[in-house]
Amino acid sequence: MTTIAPPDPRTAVTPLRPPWAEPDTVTRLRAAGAAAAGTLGWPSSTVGEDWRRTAQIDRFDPGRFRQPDASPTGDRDRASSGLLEMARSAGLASGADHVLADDAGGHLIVAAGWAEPFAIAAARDPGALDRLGTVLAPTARPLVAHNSARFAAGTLVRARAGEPPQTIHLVHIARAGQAAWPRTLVELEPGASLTLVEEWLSADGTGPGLIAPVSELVVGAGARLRHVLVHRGDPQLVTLASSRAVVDRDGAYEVGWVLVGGSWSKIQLDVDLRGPGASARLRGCGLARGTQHLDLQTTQAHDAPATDSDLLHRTVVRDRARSVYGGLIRVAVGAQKTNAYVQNRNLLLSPTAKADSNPTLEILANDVRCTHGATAGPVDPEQLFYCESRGIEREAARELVVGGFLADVLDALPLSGLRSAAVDWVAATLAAPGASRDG
Amino acid sequence: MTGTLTPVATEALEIEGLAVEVDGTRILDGVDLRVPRGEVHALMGPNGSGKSTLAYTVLGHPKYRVVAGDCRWGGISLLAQTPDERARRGLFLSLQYPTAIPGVSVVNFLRAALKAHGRDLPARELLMTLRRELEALKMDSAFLSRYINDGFSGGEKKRMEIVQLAVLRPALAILDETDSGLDVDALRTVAEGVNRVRGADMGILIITHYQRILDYVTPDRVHVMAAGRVIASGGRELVDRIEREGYDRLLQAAGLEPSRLEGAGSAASA
Repeated sequence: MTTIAPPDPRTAVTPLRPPWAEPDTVTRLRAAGAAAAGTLGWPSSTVGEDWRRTAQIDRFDPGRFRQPDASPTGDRDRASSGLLEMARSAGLASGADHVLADDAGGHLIVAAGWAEPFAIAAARDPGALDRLGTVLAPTARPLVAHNSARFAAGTLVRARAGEPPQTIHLVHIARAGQAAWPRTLVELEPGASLTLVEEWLSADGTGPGLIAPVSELVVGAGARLRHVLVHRGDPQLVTLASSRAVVDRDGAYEVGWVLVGGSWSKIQLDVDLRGPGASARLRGCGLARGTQHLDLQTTQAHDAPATDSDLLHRTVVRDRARSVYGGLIRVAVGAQKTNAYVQNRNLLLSPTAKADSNPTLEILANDVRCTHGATAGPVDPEQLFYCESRGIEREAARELVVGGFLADVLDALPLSGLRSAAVDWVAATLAAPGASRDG
Repeated sequence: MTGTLTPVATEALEIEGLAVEVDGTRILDGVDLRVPRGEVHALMGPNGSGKSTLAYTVLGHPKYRVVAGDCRWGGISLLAQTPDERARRGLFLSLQYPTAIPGVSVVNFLRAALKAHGRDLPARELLMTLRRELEALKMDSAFLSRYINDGFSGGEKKRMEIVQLAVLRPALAILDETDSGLDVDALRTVAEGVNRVRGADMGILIITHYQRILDYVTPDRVHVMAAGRVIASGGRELVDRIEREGYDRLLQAAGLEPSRLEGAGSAASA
């Protein structure tokens, strides 16, 4: 006699039916997402490597959060003034030309400049969303499947060659008690150039909530996309994010990240170098304090010869917080003359802070240069002494050294406004109460 | 303000019977030394005699444990003070191996140091000061934006220590083998830098193996250390004597066995 376990209710997903006309392709994507959510099952820390160190997923049920009714998009009047203000101030900090925000209900508000919500894009051109689900297929991962079925807010960003380079700041806003599944499709036509900041924020005070965004990025031949992910969400916000860029011949993808918010987070960041001469530069940092848990997982896929990628992830971990990093470099057969680097550096500011690091190489070509490295340790006492011997007090010395540790990744961010804002976020996170003084 | 007495005349580094252990091993064994403000003293001695330990101990490096004696500045013991407190009271150490701090530029590092000393200079003035001091040490102003000591050559690190000395203007500077590893031109540049800052306001203790730097910076007093204590003190003529005879005679006169000392006599042969 065989026992059949009851199906996990978390894998039963109903595709969202938005109150606007969607092209058939999107309807099919939603159905495929719902189906894949069932077949892939809910992620587990005991199955495979992906979630091994983030067991929070085992007990987590997105169903505990309300998914609000989707609203027609692109309507500034429907958005609360609070959202508009959040978007405006975020946009002011970065100095982007175009500032927009979406929230769990699928409002898309434009605080400055332009943007194209999915609904409007699809009404203008039924083929506008055809690339949706091609960079991150619904079957790619369970959470991509869920997002594909459930997204309400969606933003299409397109850039053409010859246009003046645009900077866009897109704010994804989570609300306490709600689940937000924002979706973004970015298409850079050959030769185009664009800077896109995606920021995760929380509205309406504090409280548990979920944000589970999926971003698909298409970088055409010779195009250049500069992308930044910023997490400044509420300390009770769970984050389950996926982003993937595919880069064509001689295209360039540069991505930075500054992750200071959230309770526990799993962020999957992938780049696929598909055309010869394509390159990716990935540089970012995460700060974790209190009981925060920050899990970043990256994939650098080299599917064409003469492709370069270089990743550096720095973390500063305080209190009883934990950083988890998994980084995979995958070089396909025939992707010769490839250079690929992955590095993870962790600074532990207290004896109870923890960092797990697992950079791995999977190389199927024979003429490549690939290296990986990981370090974790406290602030170097000799560096502290050197500062102190110049009169700098211990706490100021520690701030100086930690700031220096993050300098190269913060300096690599595009937009000077964003760089100085990031320095402030980092300083505020390090100075917040509960700072350990024994590291 | 309390009091009008400023004991400038008696301000001195006073070390008495100082004994220091590192990881349970006795390194300093009763050091007596006095360096008044306004004088330049040289501290010589073979390898392993405890010169660097003395320098680090005066600044309060946590690795060095004082087990006996005292170390005072301006009549007040330093031993209960943290390294940054000692530095703000006017002490400075030029390290033998200056520490690199990746990500912290020279200008940011010195801005923080000056701010700690209560000299929060406006950006323009800070840059002008730093440029001037770099130029004096024959360093390009591009060093301002480089991370401090990160990827610097040995000579560049030593010169950057002297730049910091000139910018911070301490009341007492200890130069721990600032001359080692320098070619003759760099040595002269560094020595000129020291001569530029020396004066009635500053006491300087030059720790060295070699007499070379003392050809450029004339010391008021010379001390010789061995086996964790000062075994001889004198004037400039003591340098010439070490040059001529090596350390062996001084060691024998102090009742020490020359052959037991690692690196004994290396100074004279250099």
